[in-house]
Amino acid sequence: MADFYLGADVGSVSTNVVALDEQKHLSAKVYLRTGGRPLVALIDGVRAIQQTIGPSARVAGVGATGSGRLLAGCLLGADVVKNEITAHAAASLETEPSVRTVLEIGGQDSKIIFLRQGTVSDFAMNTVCAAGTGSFLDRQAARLNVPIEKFGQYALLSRQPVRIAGRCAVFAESDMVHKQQMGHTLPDIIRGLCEAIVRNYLNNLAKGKKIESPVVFQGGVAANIGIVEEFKRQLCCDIIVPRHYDVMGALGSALLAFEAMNGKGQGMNGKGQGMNGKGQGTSFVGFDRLHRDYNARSVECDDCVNACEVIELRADGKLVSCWGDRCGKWSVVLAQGEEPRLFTKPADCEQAEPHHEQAVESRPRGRA
Amino acid sequence: MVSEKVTFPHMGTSYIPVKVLLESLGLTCVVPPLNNVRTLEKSLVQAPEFMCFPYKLILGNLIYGLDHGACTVVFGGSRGPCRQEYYNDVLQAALRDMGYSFDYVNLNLSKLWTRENYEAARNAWGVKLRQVLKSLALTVKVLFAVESLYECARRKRCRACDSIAVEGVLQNYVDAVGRAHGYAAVMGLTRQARRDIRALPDKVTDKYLKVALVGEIFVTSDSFANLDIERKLGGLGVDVTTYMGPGTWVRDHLVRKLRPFHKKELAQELAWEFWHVDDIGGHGVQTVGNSVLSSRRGFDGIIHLYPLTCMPEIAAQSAFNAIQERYGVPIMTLVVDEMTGEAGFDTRLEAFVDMLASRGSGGLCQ
Repeated sequence: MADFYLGADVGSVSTNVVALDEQKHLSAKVYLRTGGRPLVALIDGVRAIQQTIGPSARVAGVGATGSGRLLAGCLLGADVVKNEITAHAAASLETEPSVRTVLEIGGQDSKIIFLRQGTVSDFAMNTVCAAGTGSFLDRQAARLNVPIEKFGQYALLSRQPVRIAGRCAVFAESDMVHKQQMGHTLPDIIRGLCEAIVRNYLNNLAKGKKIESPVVFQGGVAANIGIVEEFKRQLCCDIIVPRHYDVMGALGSALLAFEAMNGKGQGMNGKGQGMNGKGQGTSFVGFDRLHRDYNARSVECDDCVNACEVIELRADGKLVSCWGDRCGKWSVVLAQGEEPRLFTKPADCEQAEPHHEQAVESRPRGRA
Repeated sequence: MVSEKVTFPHMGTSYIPVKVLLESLGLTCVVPPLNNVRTLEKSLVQAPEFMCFPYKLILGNLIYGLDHGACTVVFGGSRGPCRQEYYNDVLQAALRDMGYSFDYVNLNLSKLWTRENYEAARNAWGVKLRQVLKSLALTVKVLFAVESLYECARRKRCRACDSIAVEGVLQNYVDAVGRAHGYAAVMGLTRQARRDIRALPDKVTDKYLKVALVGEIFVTSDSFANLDIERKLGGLGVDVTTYMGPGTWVRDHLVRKLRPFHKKELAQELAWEFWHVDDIGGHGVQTVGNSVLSSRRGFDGIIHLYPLTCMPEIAAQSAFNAIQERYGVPIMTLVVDEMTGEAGFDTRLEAFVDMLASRGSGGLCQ
């Protein structure tokens, strides 16, 4: 019976799941739209993978990444829960061992990763703005009535790109509307948009750092040939788009799970460690247990002024996990097996309770 | 003579010594709750969008204080080429426009030790010089004791078997100190908390990463403004060092000013390598200098924090490429304001710490 390693990347726009075999070859991949429902997308994804690799396949390790990695980690019982940077770097290194720069544009964030001697030496991620990421392109494609898959091909038809203001997604859209009304052709506008996105990316992320080849471009946006060509033109070097560019995050997390389960996971910090410790089997919940009825909701804790939003995840009505508390006290109580007081309160009485603290008044000590 | 019921804004833990100071002058303090999401409820409506994050928090604190019975606002303005110089006037105007009537006592924090400040306090409350000197001495002692407590917590988080226990001690301390009055009580609690933290058992390993926090003073020292970065890094097993806080300010503007000769700060001297200026406003030069200092001291990484639209820090950021090239220590910049998403912030911290760990051990997985 073959062993498989699963990797799940729950992102803002897409949820991807992959399965690796024991030789670290990709044996199944699923790319799904998250559609605002990460739980459903993830379960569908894992089920689709199960159908490809067969019902008798044994899962030897699970990794989770993406913005929904905590959720995915709880739901699947992941052995490794890692951030996207590390996962993407791991996947790039596996597919292109000599890589020195990774460009990644995802649904709502973009990253640039610099690698030297097989390790991340520096990275940058967009901080205050998400213009030029996948969701923006998605939206523009929908507005222009062009299927997102063909968006890039349109750009290649352009002879005279239009300059689009790319700093803010909303203003870029206004600018595009304006350019359409001026009578510019669709290909010119799309090419202009690709240019603006690449310009924005290089100015805001790379910020004068040296981009050395080989350069790998991955993430959902790498499907857009217009953007790839634009990167080639502006960086004056070849751009490698890996075969599984769209699921690199999931691939990376599966690789990290592989390493962790095969005893190479030392030295990893914090949450990187397999949740069940080394040397034991996977903590994967099993395919059959995914059919439970899941519910997640947030509760505002009013124990102190931090007013944390604590997220609780229930499976078949039973609390399985919670996170989001700054002090960690609810997570600790949960680990001891009790239902924390915070979650037993009925949901509607929270709104009814006024939240305002009493003024902290102090007595004067002596008079002047 | 103005009202004795006073309120003042928060900046990290500065409220503890400030409360001791004002109470020992015989005043009653309305201390706003520590900065939290509700602090911003009313101030965001009033503050211009591109005003800096500290301003929005300060305004929220003062609104709370005035809503809860304070009649006098004590604010520490400063002189220097950064917007904060005008906050003194802008805050007064904004609050009066909102319909509050109050007395306003402005202290010049650039020169803590001046006749101007003493006269402001004397005119307001009729306090005597002797009393001010005594209170000030006690306040400074409390300030450094509190600083030492938090310093101890930063050291302990990465070393303790249970880093949540450190948060427990600090949370109890914050609760207790909010109810305590006077120098003796506050000092006792602070020392006790420090002892409690030191007594927590350590892990056997002594492998940890060292990260320095540099940047704008308000966001590096206020745990709400910086999304509790010290605790998050501590939880990831990082030894955090910070250069900026109320203690730094007092050292620079009170202790150093009392010395008979003037000498450049270490950070200013070190920044000279990359920047031939002594001041570009705010703490821009200090950010550059402290980054150089941390690189030379062998830190694994540096995190630069500033509130969105902070001009001096944006200028400082431009020196980082050269500093990184020269010393090879990675610097990550994080910009915070009320719109900062916590998930993205955590991801960046986690990725940064991962990167530092893998640089140290020479592989993503080894």
